[in-house]
Amino acid sequence: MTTTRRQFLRRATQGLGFLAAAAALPRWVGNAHAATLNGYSGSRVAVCVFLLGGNDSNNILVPRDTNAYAQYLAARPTVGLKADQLDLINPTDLPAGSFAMPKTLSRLRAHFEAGRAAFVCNVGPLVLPLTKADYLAGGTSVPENLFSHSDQQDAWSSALANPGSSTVTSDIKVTGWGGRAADRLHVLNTSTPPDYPEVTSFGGKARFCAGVERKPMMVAPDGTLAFRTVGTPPSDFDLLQQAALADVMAEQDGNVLETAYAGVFTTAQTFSAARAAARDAAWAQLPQATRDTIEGYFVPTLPPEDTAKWTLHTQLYQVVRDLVAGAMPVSKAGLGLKRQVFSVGFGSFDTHQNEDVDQPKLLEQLDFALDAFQKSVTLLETQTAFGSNAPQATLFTMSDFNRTLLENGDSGTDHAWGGHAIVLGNRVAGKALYGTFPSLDLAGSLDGSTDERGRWIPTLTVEQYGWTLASWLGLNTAAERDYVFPNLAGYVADAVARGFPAQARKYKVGFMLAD
Amino acid sequence: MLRRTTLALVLCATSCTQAEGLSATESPPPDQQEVLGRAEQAADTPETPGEANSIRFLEQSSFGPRLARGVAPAPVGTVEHVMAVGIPQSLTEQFALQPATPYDGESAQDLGSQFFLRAVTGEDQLRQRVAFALSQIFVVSMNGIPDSARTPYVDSKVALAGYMNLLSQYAFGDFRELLEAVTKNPAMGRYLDMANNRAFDSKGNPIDPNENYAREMLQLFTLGTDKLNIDGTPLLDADGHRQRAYSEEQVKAFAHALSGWTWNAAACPARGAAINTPDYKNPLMACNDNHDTTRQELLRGVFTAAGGNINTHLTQALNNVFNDPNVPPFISKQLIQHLVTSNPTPGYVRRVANVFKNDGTGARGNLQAVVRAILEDSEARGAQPPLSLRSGFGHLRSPALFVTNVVRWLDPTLDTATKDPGLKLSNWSKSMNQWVPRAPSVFSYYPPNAPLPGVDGLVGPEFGILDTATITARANFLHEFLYTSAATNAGITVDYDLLPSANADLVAYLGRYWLHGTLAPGLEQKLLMAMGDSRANTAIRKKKLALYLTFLSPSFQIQR
Repeated sequence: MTTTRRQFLRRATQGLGFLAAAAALPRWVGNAHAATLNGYSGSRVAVCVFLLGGNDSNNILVPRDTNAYAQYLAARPTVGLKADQLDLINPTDLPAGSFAMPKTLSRLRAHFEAGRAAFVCNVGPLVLPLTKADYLAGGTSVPENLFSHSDQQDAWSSALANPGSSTVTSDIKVTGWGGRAADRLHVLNTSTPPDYPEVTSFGGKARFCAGVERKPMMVAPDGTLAFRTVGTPPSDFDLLQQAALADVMAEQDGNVLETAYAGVFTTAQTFSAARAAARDAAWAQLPQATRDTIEGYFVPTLPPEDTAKWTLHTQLYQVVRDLVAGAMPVSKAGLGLKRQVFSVGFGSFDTHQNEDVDQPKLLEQLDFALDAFQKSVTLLETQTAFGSNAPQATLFTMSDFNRTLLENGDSGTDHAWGGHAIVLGNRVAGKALYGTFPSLDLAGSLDGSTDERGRWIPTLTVEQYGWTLASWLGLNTAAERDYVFPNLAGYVADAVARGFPAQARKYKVGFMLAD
Repeated sequence: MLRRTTLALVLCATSCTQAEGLSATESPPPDQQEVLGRAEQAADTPETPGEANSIRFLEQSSFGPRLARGVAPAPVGTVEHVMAVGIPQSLTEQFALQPATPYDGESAQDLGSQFFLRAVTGEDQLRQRVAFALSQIFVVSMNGIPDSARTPYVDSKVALAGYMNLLSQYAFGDFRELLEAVTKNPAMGRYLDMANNRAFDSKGNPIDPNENYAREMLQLFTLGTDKLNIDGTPLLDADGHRQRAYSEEQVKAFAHALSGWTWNAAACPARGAAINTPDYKNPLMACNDNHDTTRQELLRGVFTAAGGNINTHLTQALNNVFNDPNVPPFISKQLIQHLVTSNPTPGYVRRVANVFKNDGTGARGNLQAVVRAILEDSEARGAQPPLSLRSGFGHLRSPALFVTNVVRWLDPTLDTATKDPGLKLSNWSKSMNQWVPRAPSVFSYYPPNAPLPGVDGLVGPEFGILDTATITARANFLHEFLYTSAATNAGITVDYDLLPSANADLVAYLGRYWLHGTLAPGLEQKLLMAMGDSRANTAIRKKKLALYLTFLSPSFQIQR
């Protein structure tokens, strides 16, 4: 068996000498790369919020023109939002009064109206652009295992809807687009310590975070990652034990599972101390008033009994702490990163039952946490402590799938496909809907639905959505695009060849402001 | 002289009186060493397993091997007992053990605590281990059962206790009966919305029933997503593509065929209405008025009877899925992954799946026969895995198994009278992302197809929850257990004097037992070097250092 570059890197990371060796290694990780900081020479981060279980996004963006709204209510007499549960929004270029958001998302609505948030409509996993006839014909152009939670979470995370039939190599198939973007963005990060992971995850989908070469820092949702010691600061015995443990990891008895375990262990041991130190030091560089204000943003305003089980705002607070550590220059004891990707997630969106009661609570939590994060980043952008490396952040949502427009017999909805995603940030071209909102007419042609229950065939693909964000982070060549999103070129070529609408013929969706 | 001791024990346990057996007290002359090697091999059969083989068997079939520590005769569940009676007989004994005290949903003790106490101390180890594996296939999470104010008990706890008892009861039973019991179980009924799944709205108009249970039953409990060969590999079409095991139309058909069940109550509700008070102590109740009696097309062109009633349709639906050719490989492979190895060869899956198809008496789905086939298979047995498979063999110990194996090797006394040691063990497992019985979703704690990081084409299910955070938690669990009073405070007291004191003796002991003879020279050297370092300045610290390093070593973390 020949030693590939990747295997070499993997082995290199397993020895104690890794840090010393890494500094001397040529940066061939990005061979033929062209990732640049041209968009912004400071720190940029993308934050993935995974709504686990399949968010019913038919209820986060609701058409209010008379016909469509009547179709909406007819399909979902129980779970559909009534007029007094909705507030109108004013997306650019659309007639007044045509769309509304639920009152449970009132803070997000304010960001939308202020131009800081947008919806990307009817986006979902696709291999090639699909008509209803294509879908019914089946075959390998239809995503594999539609409507299955695990497979569709993987499809969103990997941006590969056809892992079974795709010809990409198997090492690509087990990774995610966040991790593969990190493989190519790595060259932009000259951090201390070197090779600090680009991706940090507090939750969400692990697959999204895994690159072929770059592996994520996975952290408990409360933000801690540290090895226990007997003494504080560590005693001589602790230092002996830690060094011996690192040594023991190199003993793998010729078994690849042992190697895999040791690899994860070594990443944790190598970077956990650096991360903890940078988080504390970088945070201390911010004025006390700034820190207090940010912490205040994350204190829920609802009564504690309503928020005790919330988990999203605590994860996003930890993202703030890690992005401060990442963006703070090395000269101020930060990590000095230029590009980072974060992953968070929260669940219970699988509302087969009692959706009218349960989904509003989930949306309230989402609304609060997104707002706290957005306000924090806005404040951080102006902090002088970052010097020229002040952070910019774009937050975006993913979810297993949308749900059936037609409710079931249980005051709930079942698994569907294309749905509406949220993007939020000061670099988002907001107050707009991107893509095409589906027809809700279940008595009509059903051209846009797989069946009579209202499961939308996506009209934008996850790859277009993801490539827009990855480009904003600094990727730009076709080689980078085809590495991170292997199906995208074929998708666009097919859309062009078969005369699909303009939006299907573009690699990107226009929801980010031009640099 | 490890091998000689092993051999002596084996022979003495099984054939001391046989003429060809070497006396336990005789050392063979050097020129017979090779003969000894062959004799040892010959002795290491399922009926007369060697020490390493027996330890491996207990790693696969229990929550951790134990030593008899001089107790005679050696208790059930100890290495010495397996060596004495052999593996087939050990299995027979375990199959005969009935479930110990049932889980109690109305006790103050947390169910996770109850689980870990049974795992660490129970005699019915194999039954619990198989039930635990089944609980990760037929998933119900305590976090998915909301509390209603309508019952006089804690809904989630009573529901899960009943469910865990069900899995214990059927662990060695008939898969078809297990499937029906699960389908009608109230905890599952709530978790995947089988309860109150009506085919009519309140006005009596037909509606689409909730698809949740139907879909997950097909995808996760019986078929998987792709059609399979008997050896568990995908059954490809003429173009070399995978084929779906079921269609969307079939999901809907099963949802209709299984519609109409509700909570146990005095009487059925009217058409379109629901029973709103859950009953987590009794199976779901059939209410034909809420059932769609029309004919449905199930798998393989089989139809339910037109106009059939709710019970008939359930029987037809479950018979149909039970007889699908995907079920034997799909279930057999996952059980192998939980007990023995993440990447079994197709031949191993096929041998076990064939027993699932037919246990030798013509019965399909005999789980006892399946478990025996898994654990007696040549791919599972021997002092070490088969040489050709060694580089990819085994599985990462899941957090729960890591915790229980550590505890059972250290053999502490547990103060269950005044403390709650089980809860402490459960919380440690939780810190590593396995919070029993509270899987984060119906996909359990980790998926059976999670890729093994860095190795193309192999899976490592438990690696699905191994990351920098949880691997740190593995180290921190052990650190807290060994170096603080946390264990003692929770009523877990280890007598470290049970372990050898001299550095070399302790390392040899750890290699012989905990690593069942696979201590690599490099690891041995590193353990001895660390223990010999002057910074490990007390006898107890040297000892704990060796335990910490060995338990966290790749060779221990991967159960091989």
